[in-house]
Amino acid sequence: MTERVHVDRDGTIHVPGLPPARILSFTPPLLVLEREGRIRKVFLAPGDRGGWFGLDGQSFPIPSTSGPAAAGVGSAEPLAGDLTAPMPGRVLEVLVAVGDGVVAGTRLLILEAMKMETPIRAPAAGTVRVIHVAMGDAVDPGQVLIEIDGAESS
Amino acid sequence: MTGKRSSAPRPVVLVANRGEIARRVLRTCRTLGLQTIAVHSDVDARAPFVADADVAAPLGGDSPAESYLDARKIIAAGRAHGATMVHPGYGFLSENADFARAVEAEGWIFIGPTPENIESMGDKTRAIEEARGAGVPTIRSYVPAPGEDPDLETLTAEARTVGLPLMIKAAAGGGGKGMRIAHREEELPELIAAARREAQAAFGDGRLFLERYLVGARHVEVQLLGDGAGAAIALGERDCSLQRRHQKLIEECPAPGLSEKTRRAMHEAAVALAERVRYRGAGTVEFILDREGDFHFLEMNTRLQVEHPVTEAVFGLDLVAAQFAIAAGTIDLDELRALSPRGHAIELRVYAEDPASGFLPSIGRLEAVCFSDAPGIRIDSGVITGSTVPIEYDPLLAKLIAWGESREQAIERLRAAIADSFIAGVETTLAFGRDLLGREEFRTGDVCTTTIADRMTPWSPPPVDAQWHETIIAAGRHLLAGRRGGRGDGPPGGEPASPSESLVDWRHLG
Repeated sequence: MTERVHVDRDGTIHVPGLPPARILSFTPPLLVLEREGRIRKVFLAPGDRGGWFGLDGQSFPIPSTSGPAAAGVGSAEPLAGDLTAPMPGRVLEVLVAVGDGVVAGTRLLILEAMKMETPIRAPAAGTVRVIHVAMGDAVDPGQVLIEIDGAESS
Repeated sequence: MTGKRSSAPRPVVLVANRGEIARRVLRTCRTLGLQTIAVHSDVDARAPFVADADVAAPLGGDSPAESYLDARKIIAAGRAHGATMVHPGYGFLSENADFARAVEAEGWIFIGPTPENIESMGDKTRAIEEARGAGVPTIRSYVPAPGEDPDLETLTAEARTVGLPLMIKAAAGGGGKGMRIAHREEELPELIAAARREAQAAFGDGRLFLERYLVGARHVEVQLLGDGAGAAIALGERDCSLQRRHQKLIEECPAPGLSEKTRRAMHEAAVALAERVRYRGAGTVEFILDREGDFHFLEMNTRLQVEHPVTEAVFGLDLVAAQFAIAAGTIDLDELRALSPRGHAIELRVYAEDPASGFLPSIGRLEAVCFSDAPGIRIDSGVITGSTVPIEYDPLLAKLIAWGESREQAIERLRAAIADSFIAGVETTLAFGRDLLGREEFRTGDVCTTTIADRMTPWSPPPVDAQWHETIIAAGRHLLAGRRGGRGDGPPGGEPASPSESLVDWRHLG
């Protein structure tokens, strides 16, 4: 398996560079996580674009996994292979260049919104065709950030 | 309609309001065994407050003007459903003397002050005259004679006498509208024009007056109950200094750091004013407390306040029930006067606003609404999961109220309750409130009406621990796949959110 964020069948969460975490329980909306004995309680809610999590009274968007695998049916959805901004924010860093080959889970760029850094990852393998944004750009939700070839839904 | 009828008609209360305050009033009606009518606009047809009533009466329309501000429609709804009383809540028609008269003309009881009370206090310039008459200290000001509408030239000249900085205020004012602070003389023409426009738009009355602005002052108000026959009592005071855009965000009872002498003098001044106008019902006299510890009359609100729960928590009484008792003539003010306050209560107003962008309104669908149910916590909420926040109305969603034996305990309880609450779909003031409550200046009571503007602007939410952020996102995507939202809502057996991410059934976990 490539180095990427994933969740096992038993609720173990693997994030590259971090020890595994476990989902202890989810009684909506309360989610209890554990990593190395430390408990983290957060709230979780579905939404139109991914969902939301809540911490200390603040709610944060959970960006939907854009791209072919996760794209919805609605006509307003961007084309498969286009990666869109899940929320308003600012481009903190662009991690790939046009022509780069990527695999599912490759970090493409980092968005900063509400003081949080959110990595935007490739949904599937392909080649970076166009990069529409540069470091420091402000982006709106739904704005196309990067187009990837060879990532059309199969 | 034949058969025996009791002499008094069975009471039926029409609640002429919406949101959390409609629910609050309906709750007391239930405990008093009163039948209820909820009037509502089109956009509110499925709002929780409607479900709390016995009868739902649609008013039609979405804007306040064609619904909650349309006295004719509300009276018609009351006739259609046999109303015998009207509770106006706060805002909308609660301080409208003509509406109170129209209700009484139907032979119904208006749960509030007399139309004359509303008139004497509703016009802010007249209220200042009444306060002076009652011997209540007022701020240095320029108040035009009744019916007079001075022009720019007169106002600018009078501004020199009042002295800078000064506050330009609407005579018909309320809710921070038509209000401007002028620090320099050359700003006056522009600010006066802006205040006049805003007052005209909000109240249909562009008359202004000028008041010396006291820098670093606090806002402290006294809760009153009057029997309408010349007797009134004070039920403690509330500190409401923490405001944004001249609108309150956090309120507490009692006011911290007040000397017993000042506290008593304030209560006595408020009672003197209420007795002078033979005030009936629940009302509030607002004061500005300057840095020297002297207080000055600001205005009187002739209605229940948003922040009334902190008083209820500390005095252990139901102010809405007291309003009904006054209306029924069964109130015993002496008994209430003997009540002694216990502990401390703090309220956070939860607005659908984004504190990170200057408290801009944040509208949308609430994907989740849940609140703490810890001991000492009271929630007055107008919304549930799935509610929408319409653009037409005040963005107040809910109020979190914490009571504690001490102020410190109330603060800790409220902060914990905020952390145990979750509203998703719109931005709210929850996390901002938690941050504010935890700050040193709040803990020591070192706050004033400009604390939020001076020390918490700009503001951004505390960052999420980097160790957890991606983990939470991954868990969230995993668990929410297949639930509401276009992305996961594929056909049964469809692709999971990501091909290699398995879809475990979260119900089987833990």
